[in-house]
Amino acid sequence: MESSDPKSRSERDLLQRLKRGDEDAWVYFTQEHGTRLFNFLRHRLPSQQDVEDVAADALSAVVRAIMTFDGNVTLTTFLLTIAKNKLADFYRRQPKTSELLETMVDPGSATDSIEFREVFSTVRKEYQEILQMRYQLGLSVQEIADFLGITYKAAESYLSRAKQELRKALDKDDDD
Amino acid sequence: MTMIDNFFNQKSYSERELQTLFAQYLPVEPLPPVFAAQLKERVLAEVSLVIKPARTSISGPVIFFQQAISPKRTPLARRAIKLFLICAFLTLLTLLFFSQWVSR
Repeated sequence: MESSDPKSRSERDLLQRLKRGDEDAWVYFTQEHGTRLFNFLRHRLPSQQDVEDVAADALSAVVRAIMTFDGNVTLTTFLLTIAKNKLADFYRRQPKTSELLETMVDPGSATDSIEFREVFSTVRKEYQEILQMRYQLGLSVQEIADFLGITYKAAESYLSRAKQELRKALDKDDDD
Repeated sequence: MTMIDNFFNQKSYSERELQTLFAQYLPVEPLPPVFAAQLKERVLAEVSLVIKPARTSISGPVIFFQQAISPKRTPLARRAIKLFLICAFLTLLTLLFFSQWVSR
């Protein structure tokens, strides 16, 4: 049965336009999803140049794969899954570099922001990833579940544990 | 006491509050303008290379030209029926030949 949800309808329309090679649709997609992709990668790669290289590779891969994409997950999940594979390729090529999941600290960041980032970096990496996807990149629980290849319920409980751990980390920081 | 302390003095917080927290302390960075332009250019180049050739519609004279130079391809089902009829005809001929030979 066709979904009547406006969000999924517009997503389907966008996908159709992307498959037709509509340049305006691709420009929109690059702007909208490029920002998410960039933020997803900047917490996982050592330098700005690496982020740009992997992001460009991931978007090129999306163009090549779009014709076979059946829309069973959202475009965001599709893009981030490709980006995850590109990240794995990156770290396979550089075995000595350990995978990062920490924010590239902007030198102009306010003290509170740096403090939060420090606390956040003490949370388990898997939890940082899920919290970032949910609250920074704005992915839905279903999108996170699809991205991680787990059920909706499992994603929900994973997210809940991640929130508890963040809470604990912030409480600990309060005590110190 | 910092802003962040104030925020987390609350014992529980909602989804909205968490979103606010991240928006405030771990905000989404916009694409650097130069990189955004490069990215757009690269994507459009890839689209014209990968998607457009497959999607290019063939105009009238080109269709006429292509029909003139390319041999007509019969649909698969029609070819299968043709093959079946030929086989059946050959089998019939063989059977007729053997029946004549046996009767002699």
